[in-house]
Amino acid sequence: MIEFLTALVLNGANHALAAACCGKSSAAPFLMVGDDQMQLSLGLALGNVVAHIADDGVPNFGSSRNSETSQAYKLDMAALLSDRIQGGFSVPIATYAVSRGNLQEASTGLGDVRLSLGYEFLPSWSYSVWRPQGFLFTGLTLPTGRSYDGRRQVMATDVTGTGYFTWTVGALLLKKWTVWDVFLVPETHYSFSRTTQDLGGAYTLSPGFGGSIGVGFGLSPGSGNLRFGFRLQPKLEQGLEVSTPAAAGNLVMSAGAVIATCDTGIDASYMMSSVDSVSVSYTDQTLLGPAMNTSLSRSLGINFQHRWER
Amino acid sequence: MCQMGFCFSELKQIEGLDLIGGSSVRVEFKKARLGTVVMFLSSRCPCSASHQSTLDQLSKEFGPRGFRFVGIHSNADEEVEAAREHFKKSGLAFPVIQDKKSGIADALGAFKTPHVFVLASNGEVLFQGGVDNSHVANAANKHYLQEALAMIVDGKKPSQKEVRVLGCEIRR
Repeated sequence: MIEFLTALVLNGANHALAAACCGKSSAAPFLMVGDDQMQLSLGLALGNVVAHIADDGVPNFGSSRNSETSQAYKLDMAALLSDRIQGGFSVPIATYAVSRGNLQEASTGLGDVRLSLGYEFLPSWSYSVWRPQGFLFTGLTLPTGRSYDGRRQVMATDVTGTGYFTWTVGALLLKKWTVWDVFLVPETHYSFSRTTQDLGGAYTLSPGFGGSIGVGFGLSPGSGNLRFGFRLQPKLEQGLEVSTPAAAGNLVMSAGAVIATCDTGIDASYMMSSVDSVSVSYTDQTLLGPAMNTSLSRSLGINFQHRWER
Repeated sequence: MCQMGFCFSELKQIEGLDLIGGSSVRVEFKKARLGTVVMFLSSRCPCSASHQSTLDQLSKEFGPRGFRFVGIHSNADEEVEAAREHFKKSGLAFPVIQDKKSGIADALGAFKTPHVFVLASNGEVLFQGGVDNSHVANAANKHYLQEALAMIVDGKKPSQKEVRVLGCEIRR
């Protein structure tokens, strides 16, 4: 559960767009989509697991005496490497707290650091009614956070990462018409296998592939500095396969079940100046499906962004 | 319209009310010996204002060498009267034509202010994009428009036909 909350809070709750003014919006906070040379984002996300769901797709909202909450800070930095290529990184720090009856536990730690590269393959150098602005991106997530099998706390509140190197590729397409904007962010990722000694023996853990498609739209009334947005992001993860190491014959001990969720989100952003913006977002996984074999959360995020213009 | 790697404007001339002079102006591309420099400007955008003096200097430097300079004001969200006042105060050496319903901006594909186009007498787009590589003129270290005009004066094609345009989007 904590592993899942980690993924949600560190990756899912910061998808707010800045106001549409001057094209400085971002459906992916680690990418610069405006005419800037550098961008800094600071985010805080508060998450709460409200239900658990098995492969029957029926959520169990559980007892009010139990709670799983998170508080995650994230720093995103991106800088131009050339006119159309940019590089960046994300550093998350998270606090998790679990309460089950009279038992309580909380921990804070570094999450999984992510390095990213982006290429603007469809630049907006002239006006077009239909042609979107497009980016291709790739990212490498480093297992700098503590993984579930490496936990030391009884209720696993010290789990702040997945424990895997994960390679992501995706695209971001953006289009704006006066007061409206739309975006599409398809991405796929692959988490590399690793061997652990922390499960009572040597085992190979293979998470495999995952992917998501983010889609949303926004409205900036009067083409002003305020923007309201709506977004959906269905996600799919291949189940975690646990097997014995190659030396022991690669015997599959457990082929995990597919994990599915769908984020539904709303956000509001305000451009305080041509280089500063602030946004708040709400993400809920209990509203739309399909969802299976995971926990469902609700989270609230606030994000501040500063840009350095070219 | 682009054919065999060359892009042509469907416009052959630009005609409209000059916000500075107050009279109707017609700019025919065929009458400029080396080309017509069409500059989309705003009365509100700080990026546009920052480049006005650069464009004014370029018009004084390259105007006598065979180029015709003309400014265009296309922003639908800017009051014409306020724009007239802004450009009159600016003391620009070229006319700034009010673009009704952004027709000129649509014909050329102008995206932001300042966005510049250098058009040959036959309508061929020799260069289009930003004036330079910065939002703020005095922070730029690549001066695209100046380099393009200098190359045309030397009888060459600009080495970059299209560059990124920085500034505020034109509201249509």
